[in-house]
Amino acid sequence: MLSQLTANTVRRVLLNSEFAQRQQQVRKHGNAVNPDTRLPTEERQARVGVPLAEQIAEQRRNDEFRNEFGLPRSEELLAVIWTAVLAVPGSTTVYRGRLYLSTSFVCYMSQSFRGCRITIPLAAVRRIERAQTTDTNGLHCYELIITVWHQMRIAFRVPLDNNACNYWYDALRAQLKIMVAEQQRAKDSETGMTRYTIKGFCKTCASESLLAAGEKVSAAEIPECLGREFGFPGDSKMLKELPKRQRWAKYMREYGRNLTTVRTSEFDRLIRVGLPNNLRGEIWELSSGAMYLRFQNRGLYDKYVSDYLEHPGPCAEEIEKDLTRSLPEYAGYQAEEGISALRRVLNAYSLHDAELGYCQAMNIVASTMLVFMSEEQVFWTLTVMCNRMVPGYYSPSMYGASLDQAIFQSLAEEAMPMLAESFKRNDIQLSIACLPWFLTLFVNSMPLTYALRVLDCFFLEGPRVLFQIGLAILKINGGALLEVTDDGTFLFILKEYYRTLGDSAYPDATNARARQVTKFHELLYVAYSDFPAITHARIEELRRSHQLRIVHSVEDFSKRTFLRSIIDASGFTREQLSLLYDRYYVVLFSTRKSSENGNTAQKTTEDNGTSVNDGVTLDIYGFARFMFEISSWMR
Amino acid sequence: MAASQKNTSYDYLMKLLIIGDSGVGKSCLLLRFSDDQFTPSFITTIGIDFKIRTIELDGKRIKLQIWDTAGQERFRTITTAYYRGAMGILLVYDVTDERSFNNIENWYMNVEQHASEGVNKILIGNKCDVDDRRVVTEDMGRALADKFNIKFKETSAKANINVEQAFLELASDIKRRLLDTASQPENATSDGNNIDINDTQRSTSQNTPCC
Repeated sequence: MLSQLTANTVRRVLLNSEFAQRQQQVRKHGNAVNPDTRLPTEERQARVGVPLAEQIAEQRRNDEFRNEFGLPRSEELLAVIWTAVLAVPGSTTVYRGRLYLSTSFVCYMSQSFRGCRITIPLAAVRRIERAQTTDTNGLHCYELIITVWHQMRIAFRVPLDNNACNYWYDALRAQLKIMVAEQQRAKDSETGMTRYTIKGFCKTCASESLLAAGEKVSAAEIPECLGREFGFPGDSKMLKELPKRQRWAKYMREYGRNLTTVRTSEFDRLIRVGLPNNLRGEIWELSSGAMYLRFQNRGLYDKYVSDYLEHPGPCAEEIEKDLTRSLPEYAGYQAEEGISALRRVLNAYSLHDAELGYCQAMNIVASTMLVFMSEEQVFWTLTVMCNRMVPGYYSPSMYGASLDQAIFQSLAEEAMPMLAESFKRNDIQLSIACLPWFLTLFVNSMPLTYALRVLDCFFLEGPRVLFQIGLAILKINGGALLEVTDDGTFLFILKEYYRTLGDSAYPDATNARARQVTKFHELLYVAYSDFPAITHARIEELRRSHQLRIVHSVEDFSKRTFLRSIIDASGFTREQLSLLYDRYYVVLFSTRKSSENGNTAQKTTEDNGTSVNDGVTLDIYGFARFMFEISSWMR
Repeated sequence: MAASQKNTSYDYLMKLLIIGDSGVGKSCLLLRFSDDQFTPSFITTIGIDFKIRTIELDGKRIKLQIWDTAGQERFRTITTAYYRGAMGILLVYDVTDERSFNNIENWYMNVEQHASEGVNKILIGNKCDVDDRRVVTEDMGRALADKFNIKFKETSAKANINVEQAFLELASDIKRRLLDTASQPENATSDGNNIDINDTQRSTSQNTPCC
């Protein structure tokens, strides 16, 4: 519980210091608060009658649940069945796991090692049934059957004496009713009709056209993306595009597609061997969870684009400079089409998350995604990345990047103590090479076809992949790196390694198959097999334990920068200014906190254009408190 | 790059650093100097990168290791960590972008705070071939350089104007400061620089793997 409280506070402190850095831009552009970075509702509304401890526990449960299934922040957990047995249609496999219900999703997670995961939006559910039956052992049990829009049936067996089952089922019915009513209202008002409908959404999914092509998967349409016109990187024969597509078509026929995908270990395996180009964008979107955000927020991207066209945000100029410098070797960015698509996505994102704005490296990541995804898909995938997968990487203080560098450093010290010692002795900082790996998700380090494979794994497994691959690179090159005495040579060795990733890892092997193993294969193998202990939970825990130190250094840096920029000190000494700065921010911090609790309604309606809320201006009460803090005559 | 790195030996290693706002042409200047090439669409520099060129000054072979940095404001927390080892710094602005010129003051303060004491500096106004969009005159640039008491050059990576001269001038200033007068006590003030000299001598004898 303590760590949850700390996490909340740290988030607020960071917002505070970042606001300070971006005061002018935000003031110039009084923008709406990004809905997905808003603090969870539990935190904003101190609910009467519910003990704080319970609220915090609930908040934590919700956080964990949302992270587990990649769901939007607006989702809240409503009911859980702790033991539910899933028999996958058309297969003998049986899973045992937990069945969840949230505001608008049904989720399932098996407990076994090579498990099964399901996330299905209620809008995709066509029918639910509850019946009494007997299981394979002849025991009576409940059967819950969910039929989705394309007639796939998912059946769960729940022990009979389970009260939770009835509660869960009733809650599901209630949520479905609410949803149907909302859909009806949307239909009646003729606005946003497509918003909740599955059919409209599915038209934007590559998987549907792949399945519609039937046996001739080669004829499947390429989805909306730059690749459709400008081609995909790499040779499609070499990449075994066609067999990969066939395997995916088979999987989807069996286990559902896009919003209704049942993810078994086969799903993960198909991703790890490399995605076929025309499904790549959709699977990225699906495995990261961005697809659910896009589904729930249809049309919002277009709104941001039209906002941008009317009033370009404060980041427009910075973005403009980088458009031709994102993925310059790709044909799509030598043409106006690619450039303007990238311009729209980055600008829309900078308006959507005004606190973050735009950070170099986002251009590189976004331009890579645009080759495989529509602008809207990129937009939501960026949202998921910045909020959940690599939080704080691109924020004004870049605290997330510093945080992960500190973690990477400590993991490297643990795994390769000799190398770490040698680097320390020669005063070489790991981050000099590794920071760009993390910020661009290896896109600007590796040849593009390999970087895409890393991205496949990244969206599936989250940030831990970055650490695993980073450590594997150091380990594979360990021998050469131990000899290094200066940072120039360090970078040079790694560049050479990246350049030769496609070469055979065992050129002298007598076995022809062994010779075919490339250095990239070896890298993935080492990453997964030598560093299995780096799990998502471990990274999350390390992020929590390191963050206080990083917050301190970020705060310290912005303070020093600010104090240095004061030209007229009005007779105060440096020490006095430093003291004033601290006092000011203490007052600012507490007034911001109280106004956050008070003005929730105003904020949620995105109607805060009237009040001055640039994050660094004190109101009159705050100012009085500030004067009270620093002067004796005010007391 | 490969060609310029295939030198056999050198007498000294110098670390230079290029800083300045995003888009002023830092990477292009470096590419012009190291490989004598120009490309209008460079990938954005993320964090830090470097290139190498070996030059000859007064009969000594000097290996220049030139570090190129990300220009965006928010990268400063990160990039200033690498200022320490630099022996010379190029502060670059774009003559067609007034803001980049005004920001030089900030960059200069950053150097003062994070780089080794006494580090050699030069002010560079890049893109001087672009006449129609120029907003910063040569006089303005020179006046600012005089204020900091540092050297000044207007360059163009595209038209290959003064690029060579700017780097060479900085290198010979460093050589004068650190090597020619190394025996004099007042030059031994900053220990950071002394370490660098020792480093270079050590790496010469070891013949580092990258060359």
